[in-house]
Amino acid sequence: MAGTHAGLKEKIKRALSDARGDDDLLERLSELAKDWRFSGFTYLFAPVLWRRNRVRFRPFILAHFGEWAVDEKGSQLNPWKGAHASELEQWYRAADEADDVEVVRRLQAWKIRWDDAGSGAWQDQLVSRVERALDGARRRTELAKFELAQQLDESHAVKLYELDPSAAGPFIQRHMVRRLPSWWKPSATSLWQELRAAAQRKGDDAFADLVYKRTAEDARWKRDVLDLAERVSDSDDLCAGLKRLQIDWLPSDSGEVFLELLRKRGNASVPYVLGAIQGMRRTYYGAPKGYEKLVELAWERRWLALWAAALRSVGSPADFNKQVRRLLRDSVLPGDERRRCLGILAGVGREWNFGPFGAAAIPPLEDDVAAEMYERSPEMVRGPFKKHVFSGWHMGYAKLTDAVLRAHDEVLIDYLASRLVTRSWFHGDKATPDVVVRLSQHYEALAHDEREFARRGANVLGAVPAFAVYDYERLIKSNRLARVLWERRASLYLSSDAAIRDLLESPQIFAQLLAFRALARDDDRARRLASESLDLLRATLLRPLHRKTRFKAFGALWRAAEHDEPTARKVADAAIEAFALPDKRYPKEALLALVARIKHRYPALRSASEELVVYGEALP
Amino acid sequence: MIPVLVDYASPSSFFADDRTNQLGLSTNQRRPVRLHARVARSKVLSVRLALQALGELVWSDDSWLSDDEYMSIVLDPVITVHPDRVFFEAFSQDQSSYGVVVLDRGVLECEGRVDHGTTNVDFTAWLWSALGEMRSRRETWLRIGPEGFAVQTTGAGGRFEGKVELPEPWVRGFLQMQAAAAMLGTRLELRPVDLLAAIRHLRFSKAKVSPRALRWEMEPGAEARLVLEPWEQVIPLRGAQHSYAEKRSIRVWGRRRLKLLEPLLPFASTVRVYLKGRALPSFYAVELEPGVTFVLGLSGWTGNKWAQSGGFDLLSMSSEPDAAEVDRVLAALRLSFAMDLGAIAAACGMQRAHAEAAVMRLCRQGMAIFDVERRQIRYRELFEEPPDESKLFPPDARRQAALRLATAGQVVVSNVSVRETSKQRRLKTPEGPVERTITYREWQVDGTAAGQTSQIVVSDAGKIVFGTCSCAFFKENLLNMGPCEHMAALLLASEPQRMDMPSSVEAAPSVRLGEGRGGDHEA
Repeated sequence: MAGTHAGLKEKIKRALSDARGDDDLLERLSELAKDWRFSGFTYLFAPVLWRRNRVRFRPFILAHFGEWAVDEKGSQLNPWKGAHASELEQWYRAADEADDVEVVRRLQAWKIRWDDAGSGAWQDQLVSRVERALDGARRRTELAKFELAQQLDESHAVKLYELDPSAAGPFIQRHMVRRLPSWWKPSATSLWQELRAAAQRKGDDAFADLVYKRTAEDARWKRDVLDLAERVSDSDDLCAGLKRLQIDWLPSDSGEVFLELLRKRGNASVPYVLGAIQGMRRTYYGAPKGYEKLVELAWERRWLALWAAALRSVGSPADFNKQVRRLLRDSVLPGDERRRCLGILAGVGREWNFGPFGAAAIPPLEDDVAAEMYERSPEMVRGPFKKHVFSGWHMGYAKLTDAVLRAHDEVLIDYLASRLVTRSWFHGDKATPDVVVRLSQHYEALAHDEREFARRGANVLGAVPAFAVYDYERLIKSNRLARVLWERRASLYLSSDAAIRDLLESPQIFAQLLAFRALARDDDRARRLASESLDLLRATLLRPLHRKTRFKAFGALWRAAEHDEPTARKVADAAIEAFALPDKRYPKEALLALVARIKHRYPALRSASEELVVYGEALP
Repeated sequence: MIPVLVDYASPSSFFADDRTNQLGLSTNQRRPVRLHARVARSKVLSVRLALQALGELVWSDDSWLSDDEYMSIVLDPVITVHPDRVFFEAFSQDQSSYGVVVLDRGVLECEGRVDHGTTNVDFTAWLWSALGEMRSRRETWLRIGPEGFAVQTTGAGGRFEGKVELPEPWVRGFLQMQAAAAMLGTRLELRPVDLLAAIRHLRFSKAKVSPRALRWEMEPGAEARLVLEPWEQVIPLRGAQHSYAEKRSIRVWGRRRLKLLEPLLPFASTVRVYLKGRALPSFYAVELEPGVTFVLGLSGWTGNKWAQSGGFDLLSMSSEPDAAEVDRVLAALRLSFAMDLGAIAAACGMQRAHAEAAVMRLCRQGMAIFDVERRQIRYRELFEEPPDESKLFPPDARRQAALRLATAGQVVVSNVSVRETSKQRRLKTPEGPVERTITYREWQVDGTAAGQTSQIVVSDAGKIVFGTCSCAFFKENLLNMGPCEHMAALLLASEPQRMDMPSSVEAAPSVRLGEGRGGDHEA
């Protein structure tokens, strides 16, 4: 019986009736709550607990509240009808009177699930309670109690707004209908005119605009935009008005609307279209209607910013490259003007920033186009178009690599190398492995000048972003350039102070590891450099590092300590502090060994208790 | 929603070559601020780490389940350039953490004109990532201005004017933080490794059952210590002095948010902790180098967002300040940029309590901030136009109820007694240091409101510092959600009986003066 619903119900009942006190009851219920079915009996235990001592049991009730209910047979049950209904209603009223917003909210949600009238009843209740509320604070409390995942209709929203615009405005915003993209659900909404008019009457333009933004239908938006273009003569007023009409999810033919607007109002409408064009979206089927004509018009009228923004944001990579190539070969435009147009065309198309995650769409430059650009205007590839090289996948840039190697353009060579030094997969990509080999040969050839190799190698590895290397072992096996820069020549980096410092400050852990390996070598240069980089090395004692990396860091710290006694003292003090860390896999025995070696090497650093004591044979 | 118009001419960018780092922070063109400066070479790494930590804070969200709408849009960090410092402020997405990077002007060697003021700076995940390429051996330039950094971005696809719509709770939270920072509390100075040990312990050990508090324990004659619940794991805080004469412990929650400090602590020289009381906010100032500090402010627990009302503003039910007084205080701050409360009162010729009320009003309007480290008020306009206060601070049910009780005569004050403690302090004056005995006063007020028995302890500045009540709200929440309506009503009703008295007298010459240093009560 213990494992059944009936058994559990019986135990709950028994606990509620037999418990010696609140503590005992809580303990017994907590034990029963380990059963996943426990929250299905919320209707049974929660009202009783609430009546008994709401302060004591409220956290327990909230933690085990379930918006589902089962009977002793395990069948679903509507607790708001039948034997438990009056008790639940009583609880609801008591919580409501006590203004326990959280509990009321949960009970409301539960009740609505079983209410045939559903959200209709929810809206009616909400409006009538807000009407009855005495003051603003009260109205806000009532609204908070009805903060459920329900949608308002316009008539109820208007009533709420008329009652208390400041309190109801944000509430309506959270519960009003939302526009959907037309390709998903055409004409999903129709403008809430009445609510918008109510907001306008109260002078609440921001809210009126929000209502428009959320509810205006596509056809309405097109009509309003073109109508405004007819009516308003001042360009600033026009742009401000158009911005206020900005809706969520532009329709798929928005390009045609913008085109018509630009034809009608020319320069006056450009600032608006420039901002709004980000809302035009390219789909699987291609660019939105009107896009090509819009680009042509922008170029004809020399609205270069608009032309470039449209190409970058809405155009395909092929469109982008076509325009770049056309400009490069253009013999009509003067050189300066051509460069200016190219400069305006470069940049990020779209950018999405969701907290710590950022994504940017940068149209990739094809290898042919990049090589041609480098031949005609190398400064453009080094400057604005640098980010367009390697912005796509599997583009080896063989021709561009040849060109930069021939020109000994170390800025671009290092840049190309930094993009390729992390590539460990080359499936289906025939050109890239050759490029990797050519670049690795270039760096190998530098090895005769240690300083130069270190400087250039650090430039490449220092430009590798954090977490860009996923599988180091595989990378080293499959990428010759990575082997040359990361594995084969660690000692060469000691010839450049700047290179070591750069590697230590790199956010890429494998670049740091290379520096630790170099500094851990038995070499006087390593001792000096490690001592000079103590500010960074000391931090490695406290930073979270993999075990292997930490051993290398300890090696570098030991070389720093070898350099002189003051440095050794700092290392020893920092190492002793690190014993306070509770890190599970921290090699404390190696840390102890480091401290011991330092104190052995420099007896002056020993405290009295650390002095060697040699015990002689006991005298008879 | 509070609309904030931002207009960046070009994206912020970072550009580095073999010799130089150029960090160009594009400011909102609608609020021009300009500062071009070379960063002292020894501070470059610290500046980079602090700015990266601030970026992480902006996007951090430590709430288990958000019952609010997901906020995909947050306000870019706010930068303020003052004659003595430059600081970047940010507020987390979950509304429970606040961070500020403080750069003393000594760290920056300015070039050309400096336009003081406050503005937003374009700060994206891309810039955050690019900061990783900053190297300390290179000459580093910080260019704050509407043009960002021209070399990299000329013609390279500028940004457009945009409107960020900030939810009222988020803005309210940002402003509420000031009220919390101004509260008196306990100051401790720690070794970074000790705080790091606590963070690491939490990282490796998941507390699946409550209590999950971080308990700061101060015992007379011993160094402070940190206890992690529920394991009762003690972390001794070596060198953390305090001046409590009896055992005191302060519990705070939401400790996982301390992980925001984890990347900084290995590079830090010291950490100063400011505790405001049980389940009240706490502030952690991590000094990376002299002149480069990162301050993290945490609400009492993660779910207790700064945005929630009822906490800090109810602790003080002071009457609304006169608009003319507010204007005078604002004018004084605009002139001096940073002043302490006494200096404001003296400069504006008003009582300290009035000055405080005016300052709190300015903080609510986003026109000033409280510097938790120097205990100064700084001029800082968060928005181009002050936001609508009625939207930001809607009528609070408890405040309204307290006013109703006081007006209806349902409050009986049975006792108002004063408690005094004295300390010897050396004070700086234009004529040189003087030695005075400072008297700190607290009033204990007993009484009943609407039949509930209440007791409150009110600070010299008219704030409730402690209290009890027989009502259900207090039993449920203690003071975690601020005082109940009965305590607030008692505070209002007892105001005429709490008289201002002289706060210091000349010290007896034989008294040995104690220097105020780390680890004592803030005063």
